[in-house]
Amino acid sequence: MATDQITIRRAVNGDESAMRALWSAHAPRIDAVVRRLVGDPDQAADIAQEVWIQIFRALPSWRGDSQFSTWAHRIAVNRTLNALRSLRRVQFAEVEIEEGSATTNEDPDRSFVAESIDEAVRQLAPGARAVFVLHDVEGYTHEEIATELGITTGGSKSQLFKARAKLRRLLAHLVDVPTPAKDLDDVASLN
Amino acid sequence: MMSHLSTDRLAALVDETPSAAEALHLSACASCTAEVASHRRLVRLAAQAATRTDAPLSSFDALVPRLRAEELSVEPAARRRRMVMWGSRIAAGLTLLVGGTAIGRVSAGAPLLPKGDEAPIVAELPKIAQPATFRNTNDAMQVLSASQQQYQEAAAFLAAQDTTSHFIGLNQTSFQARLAALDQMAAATRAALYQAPQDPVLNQYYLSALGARAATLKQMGAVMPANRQLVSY
Ligand SMILES: [Zn+2]
Repeated sequence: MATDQITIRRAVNGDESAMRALWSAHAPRIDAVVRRLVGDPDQAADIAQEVWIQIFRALPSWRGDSQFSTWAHRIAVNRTLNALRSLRRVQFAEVEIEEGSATTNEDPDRSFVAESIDEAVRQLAPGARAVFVLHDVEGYTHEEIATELGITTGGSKSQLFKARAKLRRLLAHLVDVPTPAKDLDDVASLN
Repeated sequence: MMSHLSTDRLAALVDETPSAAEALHLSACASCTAEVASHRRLVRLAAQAATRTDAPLSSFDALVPRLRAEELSVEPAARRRRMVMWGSRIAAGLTLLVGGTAIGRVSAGAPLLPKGDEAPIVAELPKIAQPATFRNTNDAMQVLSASQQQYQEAAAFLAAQDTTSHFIGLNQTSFQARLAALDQMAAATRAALYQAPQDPVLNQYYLSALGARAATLKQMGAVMPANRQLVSY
């Protein structure tokens, strides 16, 4: 969305209505990435507030040479990862993702019926979730992720593949490609 | 035929090229091929999630107390008060600039000081600090306040001393030229204020331009024939 430069100038000058307009236009997208990276909805809400304060603090440094949404998005990712580090002492190191290592107090069966990829992503361990969201959702390269998380590109790839493998299982109902045998089952179930 | 591909490799092949051996296996193994396809679907779903937006996690109103506490934003009512404050306090400081020009032109037509009096009138006025000496905004405000008072006193003095010959040498055309210039100045500063409503310098210029414009209209009314009226400019 092209954001009116005048709105940003007004917001820089402390105009609350301009700040509100910026927030209204961009919060749905900014908050969505925060939610995905954080997982826990309550924590995500707190961190989203921090993100927005940070965006408004940094607003005078926005030079208009990039899309405001892109610029704000980077701040959101960066701030969220920092918050995760300090809140949970999350280390995005190259650790093996163990089955069931994700903290979830949901009914274990729920993951299999989850219709939203966000719900499945929430079940990943924080480090794997960050890599998956940054790479497969946000389009970051492994080099960028390595820099952002302080890990190696090899570590980023390794976490990504493990995250994909787990999500592939959690979201089987959404991503399964019918095999010939399954096709027969499908036909049978239709009859 | 090699054994099935590892889960890592199946996931990697979404965006990596299979080795010759992997390609050979995939060409013959429906199960691994289906697994790679499932991972592709997963990654497509993830990419679609990027453009999806949800209801915000919080509200802007929840941010407002912090924004105000950090002085990142200004409460609308306080903002209006501040604008009025700027207006009343500031008008003079730079009205000196605009108004001063007018007075200069007036006094050129009708010298108000006795000839031979070499003491400039400013010398008798309280000293005004130079910009470089401002230590803080209070300092600057006090100077503006003093300037305003001086300007008003000077204007009152001039009005008292001379009520008839003020505008000798200034005809309607020169008034109109001045009005046109002031209109441009007011429009330019008004446009700039829209982007930087709290900029004190812009506020000063804007208010000064408006003040000088009003004064000029009055003066024009005074020198124009009574049967001609200024409707607008
Ligand atoms: Zn196979």
